[in-house]
Parts: sequence; structure tokens; C-alpha cells
Amino acid sequence: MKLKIILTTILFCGFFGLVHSASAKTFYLDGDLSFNCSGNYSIANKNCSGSDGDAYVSLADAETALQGSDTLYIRSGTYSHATTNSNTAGILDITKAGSAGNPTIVSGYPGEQPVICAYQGHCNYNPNPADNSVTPCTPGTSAGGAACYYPNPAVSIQNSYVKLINIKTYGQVVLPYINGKHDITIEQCDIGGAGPFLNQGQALAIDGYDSSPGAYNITVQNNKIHHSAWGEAILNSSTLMTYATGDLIIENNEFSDGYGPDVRIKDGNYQGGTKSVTIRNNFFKPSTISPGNSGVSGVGQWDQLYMVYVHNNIFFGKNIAGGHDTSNIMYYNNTFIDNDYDLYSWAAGLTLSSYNNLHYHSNSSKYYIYHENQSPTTVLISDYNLFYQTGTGNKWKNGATSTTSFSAWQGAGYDANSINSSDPNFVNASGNFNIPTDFKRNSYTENFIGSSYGNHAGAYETGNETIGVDWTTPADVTPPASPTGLSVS
Amino acid sequence: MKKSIIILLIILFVGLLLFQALSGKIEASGQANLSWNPNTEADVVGYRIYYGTAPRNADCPPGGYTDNIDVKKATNYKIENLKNNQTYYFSVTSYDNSKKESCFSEEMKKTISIVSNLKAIFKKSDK
Repeated sequence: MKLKIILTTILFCGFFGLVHSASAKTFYLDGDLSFNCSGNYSIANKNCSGSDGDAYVSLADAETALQGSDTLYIRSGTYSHATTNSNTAGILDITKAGSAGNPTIVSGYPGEQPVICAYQGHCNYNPNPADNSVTPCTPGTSAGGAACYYPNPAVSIQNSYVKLINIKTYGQVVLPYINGKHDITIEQCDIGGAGPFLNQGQALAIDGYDSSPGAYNITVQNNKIHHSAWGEAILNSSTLMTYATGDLIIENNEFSDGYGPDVRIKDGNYQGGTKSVTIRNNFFKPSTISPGNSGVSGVGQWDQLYMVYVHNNIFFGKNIAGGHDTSNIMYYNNTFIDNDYDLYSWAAGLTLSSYNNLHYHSNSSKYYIYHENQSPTTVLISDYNLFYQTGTGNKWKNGATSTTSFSAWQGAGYDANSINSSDPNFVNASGNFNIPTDFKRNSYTENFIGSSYGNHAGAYETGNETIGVDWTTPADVTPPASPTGLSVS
Repeated sequence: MKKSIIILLIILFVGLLLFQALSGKIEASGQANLSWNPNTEADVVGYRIYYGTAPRNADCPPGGYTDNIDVKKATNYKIENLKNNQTYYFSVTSYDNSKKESCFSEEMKKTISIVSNLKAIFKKSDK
């Protein structure tokens, strides 16, 4: 009898141990520790006096321990280490895939935002982002070209079902050559500083690689993304750049201090998934590091065969808010503030559509719409927009037609139901527009009953929208509990 | 009179069922009715049933199951077209509004048989 009990106990413990070891684990990186904790980490005391699991002192050890579907919480502090220079492998290199519903998660501990520096000792932004003296990049030469300032990305994600949450970086976050990879989310991070990947100076680079099936189900939400630098070309020096990435959602981010375009979508022919791209509820702020007024645009795309949907964004103080090469883009319910060109289309494509946008110009002689209408002819569709100006001589252009007269523009067949010179009634009428909610509206003069995009123009259709980041609630990485009481008959 | 007609219909129906079973025509006509307790978290927006003909090999998805069904907010569900004389294993997960998914519930099994089919049919007829 005793033998039976002992054998049963051994079998039970063995089975439980097996199951436990096969399960995803939660563990910690805490640079304040003196040594690693083996099962006895204390979250509250930040030492090895508790029972909260494993914890590591060094980023490298935590990275080695990270397996698929694990959750790694990083406590506050600054992390980096010397590495062999690499364009693709970050100081934190996430290579292990999670699974559907159980992604591999690397997250700042809730309420804390740890910092990862791309170059040990360089926990700051490139002081000279316009420097293009070294091309191509020679990693490790911090005095060289702008993209060489950081010899490594700060973070790289190289596999599917991964979430990166609540991390601050000095240096690039890159998803390098992730052809066929999918379900990757970057959320509530502060990503600043360009990197060496492709030598293009991007702060966040997502590369599905230019062959099918590309990358898909990629979400970039609720991040601050900024401080890109000069790359091989100004248009590729984008703050966020994606290549061959479909089912892409870019939402509720704040873009600032970009050297090139804030967002650029490229290589659409090889996009994965349904090839859709949605850019919504973002706040595009002015840049303080722009080379004059030539470099900064809000959204641009190239080789885009499918529609990009851009809505409920605020584009503020850009050279070209709509970006270069913006054919095959549907803009609706955006607010454009004092851009040199609100909507700009240069290259050949299919369609540039504009509905329910609010254009506010306090300056003079700027373009609401600049449609180059290259050959083959692209179609401009524009209606139910609100054009407001306190400056003079603002313009509309489609091909050979360029006019400062709204009636002449309508006479050319555009914006039949749009309104010119109505006060948008911004909440912050004094013009100190530095936060998204300044652009909420006290009242609406327009009532676009015939539009498919609502009765109102602009990013704030109701005033209840969240535009830009909202970090008041820590990102929740905890999955729900398993259901109970399952019965089968 | 009414009662005898009902009994006759039942006999005919059972006879037809047995004939089809013997001739292999209802090889995949079995069903399993699942139900579970709703989660209490406010952000849980749905459930997913995992099933297959072998027990799962892990506590969390995918677990080696061959099939899964997103049943949205339902807390009971009927799976049809299961093969007769086959044992199936079932588990349920919940997921929240940011697509995070729980690990599995306890695993339950059911062997699909003609008898269980008839039981299910008669149970349905009782209602």
C-alpha cells in the first residue's frame, strides 16, 4: 500500500513537473539585482527574497532564457551591452515565436518604462541627424553618417506572435526581413533614434522583404515614434517605414521630430494577408530636426497597388502631410493644420480620394490639394471637405488646373458639397495647438448628410475619439482565465 | 390514434437511421453538445472550442488539437458532423478584446456512437 502511494506520488510529481516545464513562463529582468534569482524573485522588494519566479540581472541572460510564449517583464532602468555590430540583431533580439493567443511578450513592468540603448554608452539621440557623410553605413563609427550613429538596433523582432510593450529605446526598433512572419504588435513604446538597418535612418523599420508572402497582421499602436535620421535617400529616412507588410494597422501613435516622412508604406506588391493598410487616430506633430522645409511629410507610399486607408489623424505643420506618391490612398476624416501641402499626389496610380477632411490654414499660399495627375491618369475624388483659411491665396490643384478660387475649383468638378471659409470652432482657438485635444471642436457648422463618412469633417467627429497616444492605462498583458465547468453530452 | 402515428414515425425514423448507419451513410453525423461557465472578466469577448481525436499535448493552445471553432460570445455550442465510433477530446479557451487568449479549460471527451446519436435525437424530440 505504502509503495503504491509512493509510486503514485512520484508519477504525479513527475507528470506535473513535465507539464510545468513545458508551459510558458513569466520572468523578470531587473538590473538592480546583485545576482540572478532562481524562482525566488520578489517583485515588491526587487531582490531574491520572494517567490515570484526567476529574474536576471543582465539583458543578455534574460534574452537567452526567453522562449516562445514566455512573458518577460523588464523593470525600470537602462539596459545595453557591447555586441558584435549588426544591422539586424538588436541589443534585445527577440527570435522565439509565440502562438496564437499566447504570444511571446517582452514588456516594461506595468507602471515602469525601462530604457534600452542601441549603443552602449549612447543613451541619447543623434546630435546630427542630417549628417550623410558616410554611405553606406559602417557600423560602429558613431562619428559617421547619421544612420551609423547606432551600430545596432535597440530591439529586433524576428518571429511571429510577438508583442513588444512599454519599452523606451534610444535607437531603432527593427523587424528585419520578416517575410512570412505575422502577428507582431508594438504597443505603448517610446521609440526614438534611427538605426543602421538598410542604412535608411528609420526609427521603426518593418521589412516583410520584397517577395511573397511578405509580412502580415502587424500592429503599431499607442507609441511615440520620433528622431529618425538621414538615410540613403530623404524619402526613405522615414520615422516609421514598412516594406511588403499587409494587414498593417498604425493607430494612436504620436510622430514627431522626423527627418523624412513620418510614415512610409513601400513594396505593396508583396504585402502579406489581405494587403490592407490602415493609418488612423495618429497625431503627426511638427519636426524640430527637419532639414528646412524639404524633408518632412506625414504619410507617403510607393509601389502601392492597393488602397491605404488614412482616417481620423491630425497632420500638423508638415511640409507634405499627404506625403509623396500618394496615389491609391483614401483620406477621410483627417484634420490638416498648416501644412505646405495637405494632400499631395505625384506618382501614377489609381486613385486619390478625399472625404470629410478638415483643412485649416493660418498661413498663405499653401495647397489644400496638389494632384500632379501623372500619366497614366490618376483619379482625384474629393468631396464633403471643410476648407478654412485665415491666410490668403491657398490653392487647389489637379493637373493643369490650379486655382485659389473655391468656386473655380468646384467648377472643375471637385468638392461640390464641400465648404470653404467656415470657422472650424476648435476648442483651442488661440492657436496653441500642441496636443491633439486642442483640435476638438466646440460646434460643427457643417452637416454633410450625403456623405458616406459621417456628417462632420475632421479627426474629431464626435469629440469622443482618442487621437494620439493614451498611456494613462498600462498595457494589459495578462490573458483571461481559462473557462470552467466544461461539460459535453 | 395520434400516439400510434408518433410511435410509427419514430420506428420508421430509427429504422432509417440504422439503415444509414449500416450502409455507412451517416459516418460523420454525430454531434457533441458543449457548455461551460461564462468568464467573469469584463473584457472577455469570446470563446474558442478546440477539439480532436487525441488528447491535447499542452495546457495552452494550440495543444495538438486538429480543429477549433470561434463561437464568439456563446457559452454553449453544438458540434456536428463528428464521426461515429470515434472518441473526441474537447477544451475551451476564452479571449479578450485585445485578442489575448487563455489557456485551456479542463479537457472532456465523448465517444460518438449510434446510441449517443439516438439519445441526442430522442432528447431533442422530448422538447
